[in-house]
Order: sequence, then structure tokens, then C-alpha cells
Amino acid sequence: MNYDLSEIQKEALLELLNIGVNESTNILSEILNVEIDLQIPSIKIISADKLIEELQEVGKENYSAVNMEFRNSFSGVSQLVFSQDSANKLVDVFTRQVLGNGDFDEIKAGALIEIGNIILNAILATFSNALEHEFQFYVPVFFENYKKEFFEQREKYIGEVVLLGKTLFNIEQYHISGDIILYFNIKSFNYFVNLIDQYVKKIS
Amino acid sequence: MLKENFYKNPFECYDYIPIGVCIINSNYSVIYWNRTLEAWTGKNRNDVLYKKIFDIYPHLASPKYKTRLEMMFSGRPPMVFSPMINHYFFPIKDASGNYQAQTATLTALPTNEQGVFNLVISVENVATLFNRVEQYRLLKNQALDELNKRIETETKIKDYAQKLEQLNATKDKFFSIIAHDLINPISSQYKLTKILKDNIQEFSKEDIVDIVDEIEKSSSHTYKLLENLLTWSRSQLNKFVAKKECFPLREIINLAIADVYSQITVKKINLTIDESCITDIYCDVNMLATVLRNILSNAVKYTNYGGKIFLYCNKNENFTELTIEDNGIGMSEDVLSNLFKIDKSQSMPGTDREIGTGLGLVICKEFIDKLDGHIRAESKLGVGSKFIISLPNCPDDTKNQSL
Repeated sequence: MNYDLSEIQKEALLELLNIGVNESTNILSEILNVEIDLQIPSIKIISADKLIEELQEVGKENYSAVNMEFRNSFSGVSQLVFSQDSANKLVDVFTRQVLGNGDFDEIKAGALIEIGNIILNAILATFSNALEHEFQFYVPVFFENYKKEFFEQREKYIGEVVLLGKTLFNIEQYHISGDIILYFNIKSFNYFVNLIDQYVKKIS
Repeated sequence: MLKENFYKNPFECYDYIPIGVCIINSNYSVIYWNRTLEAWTGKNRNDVLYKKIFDIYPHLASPKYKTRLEMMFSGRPPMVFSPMINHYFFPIKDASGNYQAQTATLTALPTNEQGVFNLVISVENVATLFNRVEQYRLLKNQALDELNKRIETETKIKDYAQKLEQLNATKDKFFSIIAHDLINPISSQYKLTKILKDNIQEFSKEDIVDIVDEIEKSSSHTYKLLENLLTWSRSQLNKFVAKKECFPLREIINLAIADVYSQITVKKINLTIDESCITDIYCDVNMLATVLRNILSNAVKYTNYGGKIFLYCNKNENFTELTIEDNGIGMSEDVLSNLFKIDKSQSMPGTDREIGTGLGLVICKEFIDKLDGHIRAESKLGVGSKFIISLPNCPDDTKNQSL
């Protein structure tokens, strides 16, 4: 099945994602008291079974993910995925401590939830405002040791269409990459595309 | 929960959960303060109701918190504050006077009025978990520190053992030289001079010349041996400090050749020095001269009468390589692999039955190391040997080449 979007639809989506991440960087900068640069340079629409091949750090053993679910006329799951190394690095930067690459304990997980939550919150809020669509939002959930198999099975229960945005954090001397993912089922995806079209019409 | 209470105040259900819950309206006024928060903070709900949250907890007015609180009133997705980044949301002290570690979740709650939201602040006490994780992390770091210290100690012990082994080998070599290499020639010199003294009347002039020749050869060998032994022992005592300077390599080669020139002449060896060696080198002149003297002396020793010795240089960006190549008898792989090792080096007799101790090359290696250079050898039995010395270029040369 072809999930491809037109260039103008892709541009609109990319713009909305970047409005969201820009807002989140302001909050993150306030927490850290340093300049943070977070960008989503491109997006892709793919089927969920191809997702693992497209992740930023392909071939890593384990990933950490923060998920936030949204529901209404169309539903889905937003997700921020990091390799275990990047997740550790990110938590170290935000907590101003060198906790190392040891176990990802509950406290470190809490820090990653907060960071992921700020980003996903801003993106979902931007979509909600721009698409003039209210959602029911759910609290963020953390997944550790997210393995290849999880990604391959995801479409079975959270959606077979995936919107993937590659992200790059630049914080001081650190460059940390991750992926922002939105999962939809086909019906929700079509609804979402429809709203994007309306948004494009409105702004053009 | 009593049914009538629920209908009176639907928030009252929050009184029955072990999580601190505070609800504020869009004016930041507290409209609910649950029993758990009362217990944790010691603040009675009647004392906080309708007060601004910033008046109760002024730190929440800082941008780090206020920005996020503010945006939640537009009905955004839930917002989380973790203990690792913020430690607490409400500053609540435990029995030991420490601030309780908390995870706080902010959820926008729609009101009856369109587009107006209240904010549910739910606070989870994660102090026990937080402290345990901190303790675990502390223990883990202590264990890792201990492990690193042990590894460091083991490495030191291994280093000491290696040094002791080296010292032992040095001592063995020293005694072996005194016991064999030094005693034998001195004893033969003594015997020859005694024979000469006791029987001088009976010997012909030719016999006397032959005996004196032998004594001269033996004394010359002993002298060189003693010289090497002295140099080596001084080097072992770290008495040599390299005084590096820029110096013409060709002049150092000439210094070394002067000492072996007579042997070269006797063996009618064709010695060629390539023009590529007319360059400056950054080294200690005396040390490099000693090294070259030893290597040239070996080249002469293991080259047949009428053989060839060829010296040539190759200048790279930072180093100059000097190669001393001969077409002598060469070495087996076994001898080659132990050339620079004090405990394993051994000397083979030269083409004219010249003898040695294997000490010279050990000194060469030590000196070249002190000069921040490298020395290596290549050889093939029956074909010849090559000694390649690599030394730093003069600092100016390196600068000029990189420009």
C-alpha cells in the first residue's frame, strides 16, 4: 500500500513538527539554562514493518522509547525513540551528572520521560491547535530495552502507518540523535491527511 | 467514600489514593487539596483553598515551572516533572529533613466552560525508590572504583614483576660478561705475556710479532668490551640524559666510521655513503655516534672480505630513516627476533672469528629510545642485514615541511 504524501502535504507536516519542537526547545533550554538546538530536517511516511530499517541508529541492540497516546476522531501513538547510548547521554546532559551507561534505572527513566514528554507534548499540542482538533491525551509511558521485535510487532496493535521524523539535538558539545514517530491505523491516517489538506488550504 | 460526599465534591475521590493531588484553576488558585497532600505538607486544605499556588510555593513562579503550568491551561497533553531533573514539585520534607523526591504529572481537566481547563497536579512520592537507586548507584560506583583500583594495582604488580625480571636479566648478563667475555681474553693476554716473558730468548722475532699481534687483538677487544660495559652500566643507572640538538648526520656518520676504519681497510670492504644522508638530524651527537659505531662495527664483523656496506637515508615529514645495509652472512630468524633483548641477545662469531657479547645492540636500542627514535633490523641468512634507524627531524625542518 502506498502511503506517500504530496510535497505540499509533507512540507505542511514538517512545518508543524518543527513548530512543535521549537516550542519544546524553549522549555528544555529553560530547564538546562543553555542554548538547545533541536531540528527535524525531514520526514518519511512508511509502513510500520519497515520502521526498524529507517531508525537513526540502525542495528543497535536496544532502544528506549517514550510513548504518548492521543484519541478522538482519529487516534494514534506518538513516540520518541533513542538508542540506549543516546538515551544515557541525554539524561547525563539534562541532569548535569555523568551517570554512565549502566542500567537504565527508574530514576533515569523518569528524566527521559520528562524530556520526551516536553517534546511530544509540544508536537501534539501544535497539531491539535493547527488542525483545530481536540484530542484526549494520555500520560507518557516509558519503554526500556525496546528491541527490534517490538518495532516489527507494533503495527499489529498501534498502527500500520508510520510518520517518521529524524531528530538531532545539539546541546553544548553534544550531538544526540533520535527519532520522532507517529503511528496511525489506515483509517486514522486518512483522517489525519484530510485535516492536513484543510490546514494547507487555510494557510495558502 | 460516602455517596453523598462524591456528589457534593467529585474531586473527593482523590482523598482515597496514596498520591498527592492538588487542583488549580486558570487563575492559579487552589480549588482542591487532597488528604495525602495534607498529611505530607502539614497544610490543612482549608488553609490553602483559594490561595494562589505561587503564594504557597513561590518557586513555582520561576520560568522553569510557570511556563509549563501556563501552557497546560489550553488543554494540552499531560506534562511530567521527574525527580532526577527537578527533585521535587512541592517542597515536602521527610522525617530526616530531606526533601521528598517526587514525580509530578500535570493533566488538563476540562471544565463546564468551553475552552477553560483546570489543572490536576498529581504528585507521587518516589523518595524510597530514589534513595535506593542513589544508594545502588553509589554502591555500584564504589565497586567500580574498587575494581579499577585492583586493576591498577595488578597492572603495577605486573610492571614491577617485568622490571624485576629485566633487572635480573641485566644482572645475569653482567655477571656472564664478567665471568666469560672479560675473564677469557684477560686470561689469554696474561698467559701470552707470561709465555713471552718466560721464553723471550727462545722466540724468533716473527714469533714475538705474532704473539704481540694476538695480545693487541685481544686487548683491543677487551677495551671495546669494557667501553660497552661501562656505557651500558651508566645507561642502566640512568646517567645518560640525551642532550638533543640539530646536527649534520653526515658528520656523526664520519665520527663513527673513524673508529671502524682500520677494520674496514683490513677486510677491504667497499663502504658507500649515499648523498641522501647529507641532512640535519635532531639527536644527542655522542649517543648516535655510539649507536652507529656499534652497528657499523657489526656490519664489518659479519661482512666477508671484499664485501659491501651501504648507508642511505630517507627523509619523511617528521622522521629521517638511516639504513645501514651489508651483504654479509646475515642472521637466522631466531637470532633476529632476539637482537635487542638483554636476556636473549647473543653474539655470533664474525667472518674473521671476531667475538662479541651481544651487548652493543642492547645499548643501541636504549639510546635510540632515549632519542625518541626507533630501530629495527631485517636480515636473511647468506644474503646480508639491514639496520634501520628512524630519528626525529630538526624542529625547523618539520615546521618547514608542513608549511
